[in-house]
Amino acid sequence: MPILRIDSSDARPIWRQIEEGVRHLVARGALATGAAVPSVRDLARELQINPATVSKAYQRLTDAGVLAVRRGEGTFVADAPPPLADDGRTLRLREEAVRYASLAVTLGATREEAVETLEDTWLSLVETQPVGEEA
Amino acid sequence: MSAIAVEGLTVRYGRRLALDGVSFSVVPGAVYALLGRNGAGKSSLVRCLVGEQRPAAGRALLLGRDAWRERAAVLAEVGVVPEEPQAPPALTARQLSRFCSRLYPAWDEAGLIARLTRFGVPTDLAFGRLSRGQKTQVGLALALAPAPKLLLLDDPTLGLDPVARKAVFEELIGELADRGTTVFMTTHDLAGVEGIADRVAILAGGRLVLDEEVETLKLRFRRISYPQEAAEGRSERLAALAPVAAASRGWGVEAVVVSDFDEERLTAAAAGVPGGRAGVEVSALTLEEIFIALSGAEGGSR
Amino acid sequence: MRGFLAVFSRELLERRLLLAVALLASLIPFVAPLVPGTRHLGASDVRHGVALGLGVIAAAVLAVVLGATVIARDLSERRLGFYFSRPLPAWSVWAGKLAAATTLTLGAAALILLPTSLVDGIDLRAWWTSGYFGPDPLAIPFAATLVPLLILASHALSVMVRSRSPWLIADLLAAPLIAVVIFGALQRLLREAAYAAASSLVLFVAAALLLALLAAAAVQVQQGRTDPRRSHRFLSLTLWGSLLCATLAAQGAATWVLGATPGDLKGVWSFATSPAGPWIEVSGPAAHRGDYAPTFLLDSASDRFFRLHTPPSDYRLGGTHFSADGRWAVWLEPEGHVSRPGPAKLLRLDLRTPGAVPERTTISYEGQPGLALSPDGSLVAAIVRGRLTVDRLEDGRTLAAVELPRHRSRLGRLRFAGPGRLFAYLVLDVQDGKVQDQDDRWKSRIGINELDLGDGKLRSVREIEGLSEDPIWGLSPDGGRLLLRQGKERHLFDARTGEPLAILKVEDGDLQGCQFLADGGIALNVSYPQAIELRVLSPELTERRRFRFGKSDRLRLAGQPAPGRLVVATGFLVQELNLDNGTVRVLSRDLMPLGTSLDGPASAGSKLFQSRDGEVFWVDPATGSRRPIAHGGS
Repeated sequence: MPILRIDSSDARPIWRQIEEGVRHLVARGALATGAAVPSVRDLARELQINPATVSKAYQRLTDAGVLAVRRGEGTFVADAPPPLADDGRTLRLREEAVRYASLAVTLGATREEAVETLEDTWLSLVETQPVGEEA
Repeated sequence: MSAIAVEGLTVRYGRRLALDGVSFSVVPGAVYALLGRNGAGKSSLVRCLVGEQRPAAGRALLLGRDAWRERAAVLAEVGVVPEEPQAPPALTARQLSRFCSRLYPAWDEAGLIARLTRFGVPTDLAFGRLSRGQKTQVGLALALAPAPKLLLLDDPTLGLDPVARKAVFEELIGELADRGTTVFMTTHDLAGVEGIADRVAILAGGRLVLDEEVETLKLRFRRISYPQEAAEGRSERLAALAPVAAASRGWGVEAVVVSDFDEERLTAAAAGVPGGRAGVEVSALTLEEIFIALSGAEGGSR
Repeated sequence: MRGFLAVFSRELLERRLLLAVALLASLIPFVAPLVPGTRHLGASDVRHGVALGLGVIAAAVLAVVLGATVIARDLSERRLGFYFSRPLPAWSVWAGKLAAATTLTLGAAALILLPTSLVDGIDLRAWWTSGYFGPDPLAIPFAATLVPLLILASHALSVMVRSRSPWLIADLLAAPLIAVVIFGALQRLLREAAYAAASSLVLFVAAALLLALLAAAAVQVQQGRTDPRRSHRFLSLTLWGSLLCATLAAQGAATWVLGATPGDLKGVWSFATSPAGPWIEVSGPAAHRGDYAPTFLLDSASDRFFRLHTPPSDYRLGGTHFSADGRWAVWLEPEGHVSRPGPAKLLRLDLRTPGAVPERTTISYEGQPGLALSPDGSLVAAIVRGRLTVDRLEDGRTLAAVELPRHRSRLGRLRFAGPGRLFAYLVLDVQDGKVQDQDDRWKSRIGINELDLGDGKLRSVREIEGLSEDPIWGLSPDGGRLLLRQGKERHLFDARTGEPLAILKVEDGDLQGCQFLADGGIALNVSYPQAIELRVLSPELTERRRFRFGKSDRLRLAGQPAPGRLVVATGFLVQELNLDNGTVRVLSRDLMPLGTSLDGPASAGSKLFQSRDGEVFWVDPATGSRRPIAHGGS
């Protein structure tokens, strides 16, 4: 299992770091579909964090459909991330877009700059494996 | 019912007030870390929790029962790892286990031996001849063997090398994962507990000056740094952000720590200054840095 | 209970090596008889002695060492937290550890003694009640309580010293203070020869010490827990607090014992009466006070009394002397312990002046003097260690001091006769300037000597041959006549001149006894085969009456409560003889007279009787009614 790292000087809460880290790994393809992820206990011990925190992150990921729990066997990357209900997904995308857009504006970036940066980032993220449907 | 409930705890040594009306509670399953500089009253508090010290006022309840008055009954479900490893020096870990097993309703000797073997601690060597780290691990193993509902740890990683420290935390995390044990610990190792603690409290001068969830604490503390030449105009504006401490100065940069960070206010404060918001860098702090910033502020006011 | 057993068994297991060593040591007694030089003692005795010695030493050493370490070392090295951070009640910690220390000590001692006992078949009862070096101190029950005491004391001391707390100063002050107070209480009792009470006090103090130490250890662990200073504080407070209560109780008990009043007397061991007036001196055992036997000067008419610091009857320094007019009482009190030899001071009391208290004179004597008081109580004569002295009580001035010729002064008597004249009746064993041989001792003589207080010289008036080594003789109440036994006869002499006056003898019976009566008459006790006859003679030696009694009864003459009456007693049957008309009246069947035949109507002695319970009664000679003057029990 590729190592997740927790950064204590990161402003984000730990559970968020885990959640986003897993999402990142899945999106990059470092975590293949159906691959096993460490148990809550093991990940907590490895990262030296509270299992409840790992549990929360896993719960969110499971709710979001990124991970799936198979009773008696463990936790695995879900076969295919099911699409969020339309409004839920759109809302999330829009939230982040607002954030990105306002940041870009305050930095004095142009629309072109902002879109270009977004495209570059997208490409680097999904470099080798184009994933499923368009977001 | 709280796992730990401390109400108005006051401890006096002669005329010196070691604890001054301290109150807090720990919910079951939580990991509560108590920080404080030496002499702040941590040891007195721990002594009250384990029923070794009788408070001058107030009380300490463990699992709903008074720690001083019902000590023996309460401790059947509580594991205690004191700061100084204590055990009769002539007994081996095995003999200690056998002795303790008679005191608790349930005792997992096999698990204890396995745990010690995992740690690499010899189980047939007299306790007095073990290294400090090994003694701590034996203490921890003995505290965990009766599967307690609550764990009280007084600076469990004091004097331990990084490997031993990691082992201690791993055992704790394993306990948390397996049984949801409530953990109360005093510590100086902030980096180590950063990931584990749910809630952190700071004791200073016998009083609780902070008692907050780690998450929210980290959300509101930020270090704000900006180029030093422009400090003149900026500092007034940025002073409006009520910094906790002036963190540092150097490398052409000045940095302050604020305790109630708000992005919009910062943007507003930075707006009317050359370079604007872009010239201001905001970074989060580790628990250790937060504690130092708070203690610096506190120490200055003492 | 679980916790106690866990702690107890753990402490024992940890030190099992001690028991192994004890077992090894138990073999030493078998080797001892092989040591040269012990051959003559007998192998068995040597083994016993060595085993006992080793056992005692082992017990003592272990008690001290284990006591000092079993709790105190864990406390000072801050290891008690191990027990207190576990579900172990505090009592099981101290009880378990102390019980283990006691068991180890007694067990080791027993192991040392065991093989010797088995091999030599020791009589267990001998171990129980007496050792080979004397009774009790080495008895098993004694040792069994001494061991815990030693352990607890060692523990207390260890906690005090190791804690480095200022409470040690309090301990160093409290301990000697309490010891002094207890010792003081003990001294008070011993001074007055209340030995039973004193030994009870010692036992009580030992028990109190044991309990105080135990309580202190318990409170120390319970409240002081893991803090050495707090522990010391609780230990000291509990220990000295309890011992303080015990000392107060001890002093209170001593005060109560020594505060016995005449009402507490349950028997009369000695008795002396004033020749005129209601005052008596009485001493006897006091109820509930063991062997304490106080002496009182008691006014039999009013129950007013004074306590005298004089020894019980068998060590009496002559008893209290009353002046002939009944005004003064004079007695000796030793400086220190009532029964120890040493100087004794003379005290006197004015019985007629209300509010008077005993006053010390400046006169004191070494040894046991025979005393005599002048009729008006102003002068006292004494013979002690071969010296005859006459002192004036008022100012202690010695009016005369004479070295006496060698004599047996204990058998001498002194009588004042008229102003400035003292007669000393001495039993002499010197003849013609030579000391009598052992063989001739049975021929002793009574020397009548007169001391002239004017010139301070002692002159020999006459010497009378006595018959036996201890001549039985007596003086009449007025001091004018001397009665001496010579075989079956009684010879009467003038006490001042030594002139023979008469010979009393009985033809048909056995003259057993002959006594002066208070009125100056003489009573003869004549024994017949079937009866005893009492013949009463007037002062002029004419026969007044004869009375007959059963042979089996021992007849005792009491006083003359009224003129012409004489009280006699056989056991508890008291009868009053009427010397005028010869009638006999039974006064009581359950009383015993306290007076002697010399107690006349004016004296209280003739009217005082003692019941079987030891109660003293005043019996009215006319009506026979009784009034208790000292109640048995309080």
